[in-house]
Amino acid sequence: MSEFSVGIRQREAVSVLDLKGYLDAHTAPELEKAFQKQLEDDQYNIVVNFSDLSYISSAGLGVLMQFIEDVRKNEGDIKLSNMSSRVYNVFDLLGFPMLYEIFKEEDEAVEKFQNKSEKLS
Amino acid sequence: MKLKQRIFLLISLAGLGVDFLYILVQRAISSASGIHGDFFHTILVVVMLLSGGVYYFRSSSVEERSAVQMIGRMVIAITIYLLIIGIAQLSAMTDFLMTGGRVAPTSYSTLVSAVIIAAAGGLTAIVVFVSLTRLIFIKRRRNTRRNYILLLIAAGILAILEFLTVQNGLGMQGFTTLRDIVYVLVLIGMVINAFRFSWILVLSKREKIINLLLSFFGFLFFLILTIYAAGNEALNNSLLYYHPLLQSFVAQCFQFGAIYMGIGFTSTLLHLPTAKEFDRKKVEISSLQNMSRLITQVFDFDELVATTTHLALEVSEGDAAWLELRPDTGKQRRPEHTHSEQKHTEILQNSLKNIDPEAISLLRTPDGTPLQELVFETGKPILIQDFHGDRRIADDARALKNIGTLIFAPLSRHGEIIGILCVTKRRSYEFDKDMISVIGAFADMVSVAIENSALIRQSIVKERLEQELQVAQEMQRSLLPHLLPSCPKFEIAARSLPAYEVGGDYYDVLDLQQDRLGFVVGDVSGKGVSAALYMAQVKGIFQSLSNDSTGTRETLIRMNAPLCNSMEKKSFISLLFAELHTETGQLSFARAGHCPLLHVHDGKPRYLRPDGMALGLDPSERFASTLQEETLKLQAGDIIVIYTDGVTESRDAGDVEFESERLADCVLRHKDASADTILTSILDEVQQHSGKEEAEDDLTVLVLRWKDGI
Repeated sequence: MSEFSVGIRQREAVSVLDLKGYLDAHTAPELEKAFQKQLEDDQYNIVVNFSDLSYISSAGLGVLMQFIEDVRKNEGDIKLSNMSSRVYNVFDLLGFPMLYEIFKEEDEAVEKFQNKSEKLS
Repeated sequence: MKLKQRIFLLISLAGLGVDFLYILVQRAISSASGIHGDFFHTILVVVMLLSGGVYYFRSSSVEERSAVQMIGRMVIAITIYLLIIGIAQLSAMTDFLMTGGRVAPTSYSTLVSAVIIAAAGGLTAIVVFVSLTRLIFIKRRRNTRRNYILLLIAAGILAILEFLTVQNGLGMQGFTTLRDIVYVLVLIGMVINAFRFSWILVLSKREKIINLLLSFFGFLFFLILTIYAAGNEALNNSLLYYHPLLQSFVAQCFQFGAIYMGIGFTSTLLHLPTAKEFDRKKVEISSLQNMSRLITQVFDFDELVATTTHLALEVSEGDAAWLELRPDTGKQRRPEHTHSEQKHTEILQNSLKNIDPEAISLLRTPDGTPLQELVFETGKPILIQDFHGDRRIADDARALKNIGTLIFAPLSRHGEIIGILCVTKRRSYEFDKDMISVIGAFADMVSVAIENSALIRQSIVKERLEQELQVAQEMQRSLLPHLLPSCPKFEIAARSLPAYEVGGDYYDVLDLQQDRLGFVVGDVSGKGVSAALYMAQVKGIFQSLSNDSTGTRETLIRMNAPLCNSMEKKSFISLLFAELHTETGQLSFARAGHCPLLHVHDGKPRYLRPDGMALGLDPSERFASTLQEETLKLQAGDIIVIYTDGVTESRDAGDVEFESERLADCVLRHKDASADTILTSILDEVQQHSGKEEAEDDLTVLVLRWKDGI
């Protein structure tokens, strides 16, 4: 029953990870692999789209914590978007909104990255 | 025993000396007549032969293996005897005087040469007699002993008859006829007794060849002696002069020797063509026995495969052997998702004997498929008898000069091919169809051994994991409080149910002194031993801080930095820390990313959720700046429930969560009951909701009921 999958999309300079299903201790390694791949490809602008995610456990949140430091060291960020209230509640309870930018829509998150790179150039 | 043996030898030698002197004395008295009729001399001869025979019989023992040595000794003895006779003949001092069938030497020199020939003949005959006796009694059967005794009796009668013939001069016609009849019987007896060659079968091929040569020369020499003795007067007379009994004994021994060696030679010759096959069978049998070694080696997989190829070489007499195994063999089972191209790269070669991986990689069919692949696909063994001429082999593989014949036998487990046992031989046509079945049977045993090894390894790994879990469970249990404080003013009830094996939930009740009591409910992300270790750390920090508690918020802030340092990046702890003043009922608490606190007051539930991030997420100031403390004053009948997300996130079959509203309802329904009842009601209802015996996530509930004033 704990079906989970990660899709990876490229939106210009931003990688979008689409999460689907249940993210718990059993499926967390799947997401870990996806992040690993982004880091190996030197892709540090990452948006995680939660629109199809129905459940997240602390292990799932742990994956975000595992990579955020490296990503930010490389001038990148992990931004979150499209959370259901149920998923948001978990983030909120643990105080994650203090650590991550959470957007209603994926476009906003992508835009934020693009604005930043424009400023830099 | 040794001393006794020597006594027999001494008697025999002393007898010879005494007898020689006696002969000389007799000769001096009467030069014309022989001494064979002399009673004292006869006794001495019999005693010498008996004690010499006993000595040699005792000092020789024979097993199947040394039967060839026994034959060899006879051949050596008879060769020496032939040499002695030759020398005596050359010295040509062999003039005897014949007086009515009796013989007497004409000179002292002839006498001495006669005694030497007689002594040598006697000794040789003893060696031959004892050796033959020993050989005949190897693997004796029911009639062996009877037949042999009958032969001895007949031979004894013959000797006495011959003695009497000589004693009485030429003897009567009827007497010699009787003697000849007995002689024929003795010959028949010898042939019957000589058919005792079961020991030849077990000889190795090399031993058989040696035995063939020895028995050939033995037969030849015995035959020469027998014929020569019949026609040579000097030799005959020497023995006859010494004693007719001795002459008869020597002659019969040599005849028997000739018959035995002749039959032995033929028998060995007939066994020779099967010798190699027999050797192989012997090795097969011993190798199959050796398989028991494989069974004891299931604890060490590497040793098991090493022994396997070693034994495979022994069984097949091959020149090179190796095992090809799927990588999961001997470990855990692997899901079957490989398609054929991947397979080959995943095969591990094990325990290579006399062959290198490059050579193995050349073993391909003309279209490039590895030969091993054919076995994995068909599950059938491959036999290639002429490697360099076989059309199944790619041309460049024929460069492998060290391979002439080749067998690949599959190892299977529950119908699935788990590997191949490969054996090659330098020359072609060395393996046949029989070898396939032998190697096949061997491969089956190897499969069983490998399977057992895998099972044992699995059970060891499982046991180790279980032990680790047990340790963690034990740790977790010891971290939770065993006794909760109670007091007329309040009741506390708490329980933690781990989801499976070891959970990450933690609760504690701390005596903070000065009438203050601390409540901790936390949830470590992750499970198992690491979660238990973090819990232990949290408990330790709380205990060290509890002596000088500076309030719940301060305590959590002081905990955060060390936890950030020590924990893995992906781990964090959500935790709620509450402090109750047991005199006044004042409760203050801080929430580090944990589930809200449920406060039921005056029949109305409310969730209190001051700000705060989980511990271990952010070492910076941000943790402190966001953390808030909340304080409330408990009234009589107030209920506080602190819990973990395992309660509210518990899901039913339709994926509906328990939710905090339902928790509040449940508490309200039992608001007048004891803390214990409230606790069990919550746990029961959550379990009913999920419909499972074991919860999916850990769940922990702590209930505090303030009774002051009731």
